[in-house]
Amino acid sequence: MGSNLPYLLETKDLTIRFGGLVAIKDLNARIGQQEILGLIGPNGSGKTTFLNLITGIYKPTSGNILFQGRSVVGVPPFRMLRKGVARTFQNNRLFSNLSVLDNVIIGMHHKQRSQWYHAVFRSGFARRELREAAQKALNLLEFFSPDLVDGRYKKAIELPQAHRRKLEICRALASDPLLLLLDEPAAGMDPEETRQLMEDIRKIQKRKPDIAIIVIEHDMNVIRIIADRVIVINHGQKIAEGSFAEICQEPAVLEAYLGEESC
Amino acid sequence: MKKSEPSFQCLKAWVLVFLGEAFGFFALILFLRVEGALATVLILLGLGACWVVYNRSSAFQNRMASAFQEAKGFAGLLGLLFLVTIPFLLRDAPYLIHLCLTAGIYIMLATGLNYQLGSTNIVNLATAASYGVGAYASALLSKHLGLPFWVVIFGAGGSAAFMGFLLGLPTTKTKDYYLSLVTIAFGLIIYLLLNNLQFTGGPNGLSDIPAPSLFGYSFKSELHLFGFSLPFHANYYYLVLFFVLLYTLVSHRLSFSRTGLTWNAIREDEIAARCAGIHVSNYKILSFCINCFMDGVTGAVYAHYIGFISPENFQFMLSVVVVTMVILGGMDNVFGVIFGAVLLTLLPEKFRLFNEFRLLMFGVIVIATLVFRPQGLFPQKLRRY
Repeated sequence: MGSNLPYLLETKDLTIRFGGLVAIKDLNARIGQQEILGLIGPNGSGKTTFLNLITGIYKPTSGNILFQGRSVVGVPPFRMLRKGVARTFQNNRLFSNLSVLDNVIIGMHHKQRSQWYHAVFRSGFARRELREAAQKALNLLEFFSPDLVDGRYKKAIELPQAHRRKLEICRALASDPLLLLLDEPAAGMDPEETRQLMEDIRKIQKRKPDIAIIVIEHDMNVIRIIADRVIVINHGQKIAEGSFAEICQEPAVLEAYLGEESC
Repeated sequence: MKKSEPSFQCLKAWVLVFLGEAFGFFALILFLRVEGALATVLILLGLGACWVVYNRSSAFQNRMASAFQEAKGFAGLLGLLFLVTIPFLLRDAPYLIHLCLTAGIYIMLATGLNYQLGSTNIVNLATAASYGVGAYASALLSKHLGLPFWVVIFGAGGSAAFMGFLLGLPTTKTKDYYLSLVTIAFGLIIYLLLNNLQFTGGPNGLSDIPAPSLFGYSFKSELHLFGFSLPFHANYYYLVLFFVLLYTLVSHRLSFSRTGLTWNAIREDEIAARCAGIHVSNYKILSFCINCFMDGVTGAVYAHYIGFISPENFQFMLSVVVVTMVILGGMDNVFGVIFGAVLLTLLPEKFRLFNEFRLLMFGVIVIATLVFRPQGLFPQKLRRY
């Protein structure tokens, strides 16, 4: 896939140990610009841990992570976001008691300039900036999901599950990321909602053509349809890599995870 | 949607605002004036009934909110007028003015704590410490250096904010209960220091703190206004009123800003906030600094009003009281916090008979609020753009 383009993200022999448990072992993965990478594996195989490593929530025991060619090991999560890595969480982590709109505005935190002293002494500037952010957030919601626009002054906790997922993706997109990490976006969704989710992911690509996406997903239909390339991990190690059709042929994958009837 | 009769609409809003504020004003005066536990209980029951009715009818709530929104200037002026007239109505009873003033000081402390407890969910139980540091710093500065009150308050705020910064540093590594424990321990340290240091006067505290003056007018003299002669407490009442209005304005501005929103994000989910690009520790320390700065200024006002301070004024109990005010009134709702502060200042005064049970009362209020209405009497309003 696009070997002339430099890799957006690259991990080299990435390893993390929690006490005696090796959650990720010598993982080499790379994702190019504009690519959608599917990350699959059985429960507990280390997929979410991998995302936590990339976003700086965990620090690797050894190995290296390169983002745009530069090592980002030890960079804290808030700085990773500013570099352009945004994520969603397996179990929604929305700001439950804040409005839908506020949730998206917080995604734009790093692009706003006003500080507390502006709010106190130059409240006009602080207010204007917040209103502009609200307008941008509204545009994003409009593009992405008209349902959310109607409920923009609802608390996030009042939304149905599928809308919460959408809102979380919107919040991540609000930061204008180069790399978007989706942790099981289709979990708990019915087929119709899943179909919509895939449409939404295409919408993201349309809106931001140079965005790269890593999707963790158990729903093989989602992976088959949207992923350009798939990495399979088991027990923290990569066991296969390639297009969906290719990994379906891998005996190791069949054995570890997919089972015969899935392919 | 276009309003058919804008002037009529406007008038309706004005009437609603007037009725609402007049109700609050008379309830306050009545509550201050009433004697005896039974009558107080009756008034409380009446207020409770009003609150239940208000709380049940969301149509009425929206109507009131939009009325206040429409007639913003009128509401502000009228409210100010009511607040200014309070000392005139109570001029025969300086003690009641003193009570209002104490309520004002608690409002200042509670709005400060609201940035932490309400906005950011940091249960800071060291209010007494920052308040005390401010009071002592201002007293020392004005006694030893002879600086005027208006300069000293900045010294008091600054030193308390510095203390808040020091307190904030270790708490960025701790969370929840552990963080509260750190603040309790810090409060104890400050209390012990005040009690044992030489220059703070030890257990005897500091006395003869000079009264503030404004253009040569001393706050210790009787106030003559419009042919009325008011006790000297009225001077301080207006001073505290000025600060309460200032604090409310600052609170309001901060909550409708990127800073307030960011604090809320940290309160709701710290990990998500971190992954949304927020430097969580910086914002936590900022909330400590702002809260403690405000506490420090409040301490300076208190010290210069009372004229005598000792470590006994700055004990753990005071922190608990202020926390209770914020929890009861409503997390991150400035109006609610003010209401909680006024109510919980006046209530113990009216039940002096049962003074030994004061602590019990605060405990019961905290538990009851957290069980039955965790968001407080007046929950946070969503921001509208």
